[in-house]
Amino acid sequence: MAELKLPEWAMREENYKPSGDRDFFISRSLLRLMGVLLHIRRQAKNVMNYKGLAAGRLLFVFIVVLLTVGTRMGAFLLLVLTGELVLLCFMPGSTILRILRNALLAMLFSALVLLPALFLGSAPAIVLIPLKTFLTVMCLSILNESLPWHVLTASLRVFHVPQIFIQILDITLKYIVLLGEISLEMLYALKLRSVGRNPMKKQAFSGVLGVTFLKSREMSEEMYRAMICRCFTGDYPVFSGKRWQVQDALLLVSASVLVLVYSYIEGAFL
Amino acid sequence: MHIPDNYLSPSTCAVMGAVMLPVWYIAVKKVKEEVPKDKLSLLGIGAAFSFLSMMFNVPLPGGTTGHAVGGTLLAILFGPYAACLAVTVALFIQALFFGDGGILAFGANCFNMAFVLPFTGWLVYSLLKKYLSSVKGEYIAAAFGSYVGINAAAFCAAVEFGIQPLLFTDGVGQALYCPYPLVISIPAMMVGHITLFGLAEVVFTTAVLAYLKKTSPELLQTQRAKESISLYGLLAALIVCTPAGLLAAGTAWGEWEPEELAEQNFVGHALGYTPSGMENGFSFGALFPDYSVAGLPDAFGYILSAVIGTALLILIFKVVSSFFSDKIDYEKSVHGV
Repeated sequence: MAELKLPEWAMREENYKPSGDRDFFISRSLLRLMGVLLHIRRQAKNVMNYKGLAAGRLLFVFIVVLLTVGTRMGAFLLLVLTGELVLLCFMPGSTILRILRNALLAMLFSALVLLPALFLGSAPAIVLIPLKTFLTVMCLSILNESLPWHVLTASLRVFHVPQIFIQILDITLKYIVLLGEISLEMLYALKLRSVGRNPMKKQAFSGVLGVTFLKSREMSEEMYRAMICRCFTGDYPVFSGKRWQVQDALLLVSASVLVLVYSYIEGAFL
Repeated sequence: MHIPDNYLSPSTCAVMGAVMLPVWYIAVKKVKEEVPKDKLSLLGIGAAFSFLSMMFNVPLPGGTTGHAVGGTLLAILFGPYAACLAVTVALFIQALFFGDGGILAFGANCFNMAFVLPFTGWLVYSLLKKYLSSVKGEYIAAAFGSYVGINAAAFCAAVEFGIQPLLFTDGVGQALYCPYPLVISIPAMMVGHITLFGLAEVVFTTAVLAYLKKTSPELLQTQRAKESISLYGLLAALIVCTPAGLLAAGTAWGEWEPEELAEQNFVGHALGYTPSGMENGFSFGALFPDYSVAGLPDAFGYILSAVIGTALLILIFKVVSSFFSDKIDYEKSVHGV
């Protein structure tokens, strides 16, 4: 029986230990991208809570924010806070935590910015303005958690927002997801394919950004052509088909009550 | 029954707080083990019930007022350990935001209303339930449990008040903190609780229990339970009715402001002095003192306070429950034990 002879290099014992490389920045970018994608996907699933007209909610939030910013009385802010806390009660715990964290961070930031006011003698401002920030951010976060973005952008049409603006918003949101996925795949590839110390990694990283940009141009051109082929004329007609529901009437009543209380507290009727 | 600050000496408060620490530790451990995640968020609604029941002041002839606590109801619904935590959080929110019950006396208040009350009530309820197995029997057990529970709590509060003048007096023999000895504090506290306030607790416990049994019977089972519209409906109805608590104009026994205290005549004549421990004691400015909101009418402020307190309790328990992972007992799900 002939003996199988392996070449000498194949018989040599391998003892390759790749030297550690610093690719923390890639992991960071991966996590960041995944976080954004996750957020957008979760946001798009908010349909469950979606009853009534989105435009009504948007208008309501606009009124609440306007009144909150306009008031000088703590009592009115307290009323808004109460309403927002009640709305929060109907949300799941993790969502509540997310909303409160965002609102508290915003409040902290505005309190920090306003800190010099304390020494300049406008002490009430340092309480009122951070509280207003807290309330407005919480209000927007609640809207954000209760309606998917595509419904929100669509409802902007009711307020006669220019169509090009809605188009840009809409396409941006979709492209963040598509391009995010592409760059995520490239980052994975970069992480998996470089073994050992790779001094070119940082260059490759900027390559990822370049490729993503090129890809986005290509895709947007393709999409625009596809839209033209499908008879897109730049018009965004409203195809909601939804009618007024109980929720909208409820919002209308709450908005009127809020405006009345605002006028009462601010002394307009006194 | 909410003992304000400076009625008990700081050392009494420290002792009561120290007694509560192991209770809270064991309660948290037990609740983590026994209460499923979805039921934990319901506990917030339970705590809100307790919070609201404490806002309904019942007047007693003679000028004092009192209220139900709802601790036994929570113990029947969620178990005594969960009830202990729920009432503790409700008391904390009352002390911190509404100035009801002292910050220093928090441990003592928790001992009375979050420990003695639910545990005694639950013990009596479960003992009686063994002998009274019918549906009616359960209500009777709940009624007795809640009655004994609130009276036991009131008795403890009376003893805490009553030992102050025995332990802490100044050089002239004047009390430093609560001036009434046991012979005055025990009858004064117990008269109200044996009669009207005990009755209020019994009515509150059995009525809510009967309502919940009818509208969301799954709440009474140990398995998972979901929040239902009827629960929120009951909470909303209670909130709207809270201004009824304002009709009782007097102050509860042992909850007077220091200036008010000098005029009380429980020793046969007006006390005539303000105990020095109270005059120079610890004071804490709550955000909404006595459930009122500056710049708003009383009733409206009271409702607003009720809504804020309720919402805060539900939010706290919901957020905490989101931290707990849902444990699945495979043994149980396979064998159905």
